[in-house]
Amino acid sequence: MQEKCDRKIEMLTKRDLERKLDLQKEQEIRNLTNADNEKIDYFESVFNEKRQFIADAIDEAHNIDIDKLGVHFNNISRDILILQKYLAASNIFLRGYDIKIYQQVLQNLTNQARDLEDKLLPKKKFGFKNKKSQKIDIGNGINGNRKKTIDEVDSCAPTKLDAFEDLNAVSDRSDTNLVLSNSQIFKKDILLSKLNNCKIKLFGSPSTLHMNYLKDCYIFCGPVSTSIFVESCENCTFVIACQQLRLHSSKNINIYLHVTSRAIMEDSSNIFIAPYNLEYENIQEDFKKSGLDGCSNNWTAIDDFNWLKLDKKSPNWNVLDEAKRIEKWSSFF
Amino acid sequence: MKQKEKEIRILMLGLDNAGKTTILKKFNGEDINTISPTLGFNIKTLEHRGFKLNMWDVGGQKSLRSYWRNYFECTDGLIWVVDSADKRRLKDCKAELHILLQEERLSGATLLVFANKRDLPGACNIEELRDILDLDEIKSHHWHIIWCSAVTGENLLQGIDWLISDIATRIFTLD
Repeated sequence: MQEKCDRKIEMLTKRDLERKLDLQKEQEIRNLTNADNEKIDYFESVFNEKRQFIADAIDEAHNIDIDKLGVHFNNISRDILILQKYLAASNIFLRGYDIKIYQQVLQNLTNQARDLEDKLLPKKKFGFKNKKSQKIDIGNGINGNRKKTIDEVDSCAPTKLDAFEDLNAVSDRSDTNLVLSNSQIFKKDILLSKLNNCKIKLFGSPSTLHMNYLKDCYIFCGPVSTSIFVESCENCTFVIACQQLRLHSSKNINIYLHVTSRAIMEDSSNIFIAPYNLEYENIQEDFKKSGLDGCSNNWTAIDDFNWLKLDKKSPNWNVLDEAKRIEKWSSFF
Repeated sequence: MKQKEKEIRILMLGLDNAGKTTILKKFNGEDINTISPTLGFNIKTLEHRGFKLNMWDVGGQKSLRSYWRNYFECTDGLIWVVDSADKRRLKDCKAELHILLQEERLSGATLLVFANKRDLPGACNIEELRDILDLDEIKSHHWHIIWCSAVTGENLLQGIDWLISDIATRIFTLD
């Protein structure tokens, strides 16, 4: 009898304990949901306030001066972005359905703003214009004669006058012999452009070398620490050393080349390659300063982008016959 | 972005000689002295800030640009690399960029413009590039421009971090 009673009491105690635990759990869950709800309510009020602010700003656009509209719309899109970030940061506690709705609201605002902007602020038409521009020749007085040039209709026309301000350029010259020393070109980005029948000697180590629109020219250059970029050149001889050579839209060119990685060519033909053989005082020192490895020369490693067959060599370039190579350049100096 | 693995696909484009491969290799801590002009593309998968970045670096030669579209699918972030010292071709650079941004398959992508080679004398500054490249006209994409030097590695991290945080914010809200 006593045993039975004990068992009953034990059972009751156990049930009571379970009941209390359940209650506690329920309470916890309720608290959690409350906190979540509070967060959600707070988010909702902030989001709506911001949304209203942006919607007002969009409405206001009708009353704003046209020259201030650009800034106004930029502010609007920035505000939308900020609101989107707020939504992103809050997505841990928001319900999936709500996120979708809020996302839709943001999308609508974005569309409204964009449509209105298209209406009020006609987009600048994007296109190629043939601008008249005056080239400024700067750079250590390399170029003496200042000419006004009207650029041809090509993609190489300069966009901005001020963009040329501190470029080291030799351009628009004929029948000129020019020697530049290391102090004039060291670590600089050198441009040779629109030259006819010129001999240019760059005895030093520039950072990069750009050559375009050269005809019947001889170009000699010490070690270029990064890349040489050639475009639209004809009937020229280049004696050049660099890390990379990029040759575009050129023909009938002899290149005495030192290249530490590889050379590429594109839309070019009749290119003849020989190993670099330039000598001038201090060239070894210039190699050291340029960081270019004077010992590794991949002058025959040329990739032609217009010739993708692996088993056959591109017909657009060839090794220059040894008999045709010029061994000493001193007669040119 | 495949959210479970936190995988982000980044496409790196720009004119030839802009420094795309150098940025990729420098960011990955590789030697940059032996880089050749890219014939085709490079792909690198790196772990960064808990994300798996699939970086595609496609050659920028004129003859390769028509193949760029083969790489558009599923791109979360677009890195447009500009040689800020190559002022002669900035107009080309702007044209190619704006054509790219009209591409429907890139419409969701975040755009980061790397103004590379900032260390070269005569390089354009950010304001000039923003103006010349007409960046303020871009309303279709989240974009940001930052200068960098691929050779020294300066600002590469800052740029990529901005890109990742923008992508992460965007993708997680869409879920």
